[in-house]
Amino acid sequence: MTAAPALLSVENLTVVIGGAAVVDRVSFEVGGGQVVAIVGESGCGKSMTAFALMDLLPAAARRTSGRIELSGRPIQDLGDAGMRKLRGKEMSIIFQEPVAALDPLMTVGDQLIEAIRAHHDLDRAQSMAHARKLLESVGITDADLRLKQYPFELSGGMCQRVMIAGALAGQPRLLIADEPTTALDVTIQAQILELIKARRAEIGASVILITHDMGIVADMADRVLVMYAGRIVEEADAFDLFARPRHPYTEALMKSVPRLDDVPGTRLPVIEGAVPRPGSHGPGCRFADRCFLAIDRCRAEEPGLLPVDGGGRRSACWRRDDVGLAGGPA
Amino acid sequence: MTGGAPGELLGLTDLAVHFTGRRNWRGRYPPPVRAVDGVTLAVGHRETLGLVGESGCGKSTLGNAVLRLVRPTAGQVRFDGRDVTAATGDELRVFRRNVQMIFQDPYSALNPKLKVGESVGEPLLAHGLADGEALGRQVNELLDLVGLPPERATRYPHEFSGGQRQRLVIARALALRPKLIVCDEPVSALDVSIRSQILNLLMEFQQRLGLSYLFISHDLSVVRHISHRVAVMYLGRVVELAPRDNLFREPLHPYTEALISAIPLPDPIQQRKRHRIILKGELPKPTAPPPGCPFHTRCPIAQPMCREKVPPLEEKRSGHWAACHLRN
Repeated sequence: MTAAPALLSVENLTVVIGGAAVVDRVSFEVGGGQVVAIVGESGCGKSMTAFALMDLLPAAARRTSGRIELSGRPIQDLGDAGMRKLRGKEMSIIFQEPVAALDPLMTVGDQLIEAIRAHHDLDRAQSMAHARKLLESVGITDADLRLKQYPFELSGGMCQRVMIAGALAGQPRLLIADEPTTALDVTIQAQILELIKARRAEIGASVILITHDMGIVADMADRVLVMYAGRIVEEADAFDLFARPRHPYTEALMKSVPRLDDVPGTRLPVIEGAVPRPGSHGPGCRFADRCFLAIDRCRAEEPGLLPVDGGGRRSACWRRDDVGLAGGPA
Repeated sequence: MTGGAPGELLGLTDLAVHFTGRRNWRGRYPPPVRAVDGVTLAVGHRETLGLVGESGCGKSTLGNAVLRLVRPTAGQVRFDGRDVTAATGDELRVFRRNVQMIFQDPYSALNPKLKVGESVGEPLLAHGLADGEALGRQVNELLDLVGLPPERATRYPHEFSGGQRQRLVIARALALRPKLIVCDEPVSALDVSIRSQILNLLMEFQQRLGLSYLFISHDLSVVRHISHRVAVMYLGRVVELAPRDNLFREPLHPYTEALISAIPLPDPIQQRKRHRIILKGELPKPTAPPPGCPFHTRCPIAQPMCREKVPPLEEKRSGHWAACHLRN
């Protein structure tokens, strides 16, 4: 991370559902113009972290601690009215299910106009012209037709473009993309990732990219946070992370997925067992029961997220110095 | 091997599945959805044929047509040398004993009101192959086979994780000792750390039990890992078919090429210097497929002739088939 002050700084964020912490004492920073990926499997808390940042947590979830600063200004206690001014203008979010995230009863044009007029003092005709420009900026060619259509008339890829157009309408400084391409086909995924890259560069926004796909991380991220069972277990520069993981979970995640350049037909390394349910883990490291490096200490005592290798790199593992060497999970 | 080769277990010739919609207020039918449009394929003994393509390309419909869950509009399905396209009664029952299916979503594939042992044993009961104590014994063996403790047979599906449920679905598919299993996106709904467990299990059973798989997936990395040969579908047609290594090393069809290049490699150094082919536009509607080559609307190398003539699936190299006018 550079010396410049962080755009977003999160400290000690905890989100609780039904008494169990689904996001547990999470701290990280996002620098200006940076793409930070949050990786992990379902239930690791990556989406809840994003919702907490936007103050859009589902009714069952509650933020019990955490300081969130955007450009040095604490925003965690702004409340509904305050957040509404921020959303879209300072920070925006796009979701995994683009078709479900749009209002089915409003035309694309009306939804975009709503987003535009929340932040600009424009009349309907002017906003419609602006909406057309927005659609064109996300590569939609027949913008006039699309503005009059409803979400169900559009494909998933097209809906995601509309979401991105809406999310970037206010030129936010931070875009949170929650699994933006998981519901899309690979050729459409490639289009959307290129689009996010291009638009991000144009408006100079930072991006928090939430994904479970290490390929997308390798393609997009400057920095990576790996989450497991509500905790950040590793944080690193993207190139450093792939060069040598410093947490056994990261390593296992990388190795257990078939890749286009592996040896076909061979047994894949396996992470045995399953993620513990929130609140059901023991006192030690939450990954210990599935870890090939675990020692007694790992089950007894939770490792802190501590610096390793310099460069702001951190790992929460008692055996951080033994990870990523030859051998590894099998 | 596309047609009726000697090693074939399952053979499809010019298989088509068209869905006709409802009549409109004028009493006219809308154009049919040509979900599968003239597919010729074969799966050999102990072979895994990967079937890839994007949503809406017809790959799941093809799988369903093989099992006769939908009725083919035209063409032929052969199994073990017999034409089963119009099989009924006992013939269909025997066929379905030999061919089983694993679905994408293990959450909806198991009856929530049945104990999992009952679900796993149901095919045996339905085919009259075991009951009473013998059934219980076989269910226990099946659970053991897929790595689940037999004493959990009396539990209900909601007590199992996604990966465990997929193991149960596999156990049920194995109950009748089939020769072929149609796997429709069997790991797509699972978390990445669980996928490798299930893929290993499928590969292991192929070795041990001599199974063949028709493995349907949109994930090329997974298909490459598990398949011996791979067929690529686009808008209801097979556009390329080749042994795995040939297909991934030297794809001939521009669509296959774009698909492979669109998958991000989990290695930032390689990925960021990689040339990526970004296809323009989206999949055309299968109700109104474009004339000529179905891919020409998005093809980066399309020529005027591609708009006019449908390219046939031709053997361009030994065992390597592609449907493209321009690639030879």
